[in-house]
Amino acid sequence: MAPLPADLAAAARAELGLIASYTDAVKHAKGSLRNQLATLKRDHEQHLMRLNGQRPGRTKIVALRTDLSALPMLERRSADHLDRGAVDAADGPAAALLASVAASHRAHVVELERIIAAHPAPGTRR
Amino acid sequence: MTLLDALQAALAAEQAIVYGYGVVGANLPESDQTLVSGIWNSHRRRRDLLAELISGLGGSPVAARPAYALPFPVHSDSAARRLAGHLERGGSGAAWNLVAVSSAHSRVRRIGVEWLSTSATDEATLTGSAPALPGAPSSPGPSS
Repeated sequence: MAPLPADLAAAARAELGLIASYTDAVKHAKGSLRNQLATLKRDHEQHLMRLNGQRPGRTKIVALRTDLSALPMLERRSADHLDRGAVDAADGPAAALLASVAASHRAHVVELERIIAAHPAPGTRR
Repeated sequence: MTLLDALQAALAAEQAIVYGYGVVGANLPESDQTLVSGIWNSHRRRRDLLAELISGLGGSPVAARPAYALPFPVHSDSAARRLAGHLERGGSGAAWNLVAVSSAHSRVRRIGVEWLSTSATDEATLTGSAPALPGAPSSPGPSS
């Protein structure tokens, strides 16, 4: 297997971190909140698959203890990194993929803010 | 696809989107008008910028059509939101191509990157969700 370009490999590592955070958030959520977070987690799994061709099921994911309220910041920070990578990337199609993943992360921020507003009780989690 | 081709396709997409948002706005409640107006203006600014870039490359910007066929009838709030999603997905495809054909650090690259994110957040705001990979063609990406 050929090595991934560094920018795609870095983005794939960041996706693994987000998947670990969502794994924990989903695990501790209930009902509709759980379903909504699981949908966003699946998006990250798709990102990972496109970035490195790897199915998350084949990767050992450790749940990373994460508060629901921290997820928008994690998504936003990751999107900023990805946007910089997209602007810098020498390879056009790789740049487009990085920008697309960044765009999805920013859409997640919008969705998470709506989700958090609908589930304001801090006790929805541990 | 050349840079000029991608810019012309992006301009054509923005012209259709600007038209379409007129229909979207007409079918959404007063409470959404400020939001839709902001989105509409952002598309108009990008449309004008794309035309300038095409002219700067020696091309003739493709002309807007007088009217565009809607993909489905739009007579309700829900149909208007669905149309907004349809428009943004078309735009994100054009933005993907701009990023893919442009050089690192170029103005066009930055415009495409920003457009993808804006499009996805606008779609999420108006429809409640956005695709996992905005603008991505269905074929495998560069990593495979």
